[in-house]
Amino acid sequence: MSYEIAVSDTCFLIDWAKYSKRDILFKLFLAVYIPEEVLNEVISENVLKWIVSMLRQRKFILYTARGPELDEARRIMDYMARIPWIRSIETPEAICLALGYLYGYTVITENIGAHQAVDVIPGYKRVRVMKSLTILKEAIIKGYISTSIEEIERVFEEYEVETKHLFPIDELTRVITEVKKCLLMR
Amino acid sequence: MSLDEIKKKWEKFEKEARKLRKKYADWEFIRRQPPLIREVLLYYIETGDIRRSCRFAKLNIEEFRELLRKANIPVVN
Repeated sequence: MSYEIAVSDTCFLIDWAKYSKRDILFKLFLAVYIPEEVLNEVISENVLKWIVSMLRQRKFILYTARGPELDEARRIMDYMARIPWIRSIETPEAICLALGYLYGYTVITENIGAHQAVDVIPGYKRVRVMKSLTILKEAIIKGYISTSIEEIERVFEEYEVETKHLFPIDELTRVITEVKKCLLMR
Repeated sequence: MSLDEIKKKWEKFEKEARKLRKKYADWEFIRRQPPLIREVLLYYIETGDIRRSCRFAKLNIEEFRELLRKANIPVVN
């Protein structure tokens, strides 16, 4: 069992609510925090149903960000706004990043701006930011998704079909190669 | 990595993501949309910036994701 805490952004929850193997999240993480600002963006019944069910089981935990966390989120947004080529970043994902920075939580987000933030904001390199591709990779390596080496591609394809989310080809190829290497070493 | 190298890394990513969004988009569906929505979908295909796209379309993020599904525009990342 993992003792790691994650904090999730909105797009990630929207995608994972549709994914048939979504429970692997709770094998990778002891709990997933959902900031109120993220929850406020969810409106559809199926996503809310999943969130409420996981809140009831204490696998999701609702989080109300406070003073210093909100200040850090504001600082992130201000910093990112000054770099013209970077994707925009708004309060929900900025709060996730702030919690990752302040408390060492793993940030799970599909927002490219959040992934760019760790590249450009001084001190943020140490924040662990994961997206579906890296979460699936870790789940396969840790054996939470059982698959043979020949069937690894299918795991990613299944996710893409179920969520209508595509992985960039270069990155997907690299990840599949890394997973195969890990499985071969066992 | 310098800021310039980081920029190049992300530009490469954006280029591939844009190509995939263009490839899979249902262009007939996009053409049938009201002018503002059509424009926002084109903006999204070009930039992949979901936050700004939602704001321009005056839609919540989930509503916008549903619109992307209907337009067969994949979220790439």
